[in-house]
Amino acid sequence: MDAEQLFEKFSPMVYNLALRLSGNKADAQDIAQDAFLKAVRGLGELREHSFAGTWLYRITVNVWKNRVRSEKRRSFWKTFSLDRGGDGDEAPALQVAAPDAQVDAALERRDEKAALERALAQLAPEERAMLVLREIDGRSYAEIAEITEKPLGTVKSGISRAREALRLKLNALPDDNGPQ
Amino acid sequence: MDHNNCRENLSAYLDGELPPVERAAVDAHLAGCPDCRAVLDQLGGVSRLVKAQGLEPVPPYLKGAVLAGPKKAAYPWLKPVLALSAAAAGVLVVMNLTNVPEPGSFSLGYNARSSADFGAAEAKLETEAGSTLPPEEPAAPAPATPAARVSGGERKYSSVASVRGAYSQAKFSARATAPMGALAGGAGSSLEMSPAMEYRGPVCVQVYRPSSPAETDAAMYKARTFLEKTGVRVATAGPGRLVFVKNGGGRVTLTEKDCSYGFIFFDGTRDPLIVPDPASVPAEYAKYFGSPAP
Repeated sequence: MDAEQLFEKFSPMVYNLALRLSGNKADAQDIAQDAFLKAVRGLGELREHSFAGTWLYRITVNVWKNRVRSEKRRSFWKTFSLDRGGDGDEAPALQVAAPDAQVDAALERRDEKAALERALAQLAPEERAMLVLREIDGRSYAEIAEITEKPLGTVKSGISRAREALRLKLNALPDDNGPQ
Repeated sequence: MDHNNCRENLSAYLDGELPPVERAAVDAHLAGCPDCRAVLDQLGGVSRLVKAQGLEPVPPYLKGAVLAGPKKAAYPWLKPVLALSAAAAGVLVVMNLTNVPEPGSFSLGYNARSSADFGAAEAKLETEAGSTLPPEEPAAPAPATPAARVSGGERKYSSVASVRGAYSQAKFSARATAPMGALAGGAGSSLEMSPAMEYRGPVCVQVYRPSSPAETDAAMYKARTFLEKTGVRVATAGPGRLVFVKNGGGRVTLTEKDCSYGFIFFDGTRDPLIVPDPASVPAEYAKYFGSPAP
């Protein structure tokens, strides 16, 4: 597997993992890029290419951890976002004109998506990442434990807490946008 | 298995991650507990929703940036040449114009400088922008509080762009300089803001002519991400153009020609204003550089 194949195969998940961990696109781009650059440098040492995903996600999580430790940028963004009443990443996407018949359904989906995004944003970053690795990438608990360098029990309780928090928040929605 | 034990295990049950013995115990509990069955259904709904959320698209420039790898300094003598060409070719720099509480006085100090440091692992391009504005009114004596003590009323605003591999990353900062005691951390803390600083409203985007389409894409993408964080809506940002969305509707497109050099001020209501020289910042925008509102 060369660098390009690695990127093609794993960049969507690496970028989205970084996005879920960091909570904003600007940091996610940096984290994803750093993770891939590190991975490409170490690609020759990777013996089992079937484990490339786990290995790459682990690098991504470590890049994120190092940034949190070494940079104060996050607090800057947070302060900045609070001034604006919310993170820019959560701003509604610009709307593209849609046929009238589809507007209601699109709005409904958007409300649901926005509610879920808000609920996800309130989770702890690592729990959010665990949930994404499980739901989007279909990783097993054992793989998630390896990626996040957490005990299996922590992964199990983390995913459980994350789902339970989302369930309660979505149940609190006034209409039928709940998780049914 | 009691009620609480069952709830704790429902998520792992849903994922098929429970050992057979525990799974059988949950099954047995669920058979006689409609409440837990309802919760299990809802957790399944949460799972489906998150799955349906899907993935955010990967920024297009990322692939090129990764495959290009970190730049190496092959010819040290090229450094000053690259610095000059980088300044001429340019990157898009997003400036977050901040201010320092200093009641009663107003003055801006800008310095223009560009340099490039192509290290072994990464290259950084640093740009500080500006010139000097005359005071709006006679400067008041510097306030006594340490956080707002600014020698001679001078303030400096700077922005930093770092270039890694093939892409440029628009970063911004208000950086401490010798006469600017209000900013924390000294010259090295380019991404740190003092609590005394305040962001108000509009953004200013400084644009230089990009050196390549890839660089432009990356810079525009970064600019858009940043601008959207500030609440400014940017409809599209592509090579050589930025489309701003006004608060009341309507769009304004700035082309590469517009952006070739200058400062763009945009407050969300009026058309973006482009001024080639910070000294010509009009009075209606000058307030954004002044003292914070009481």
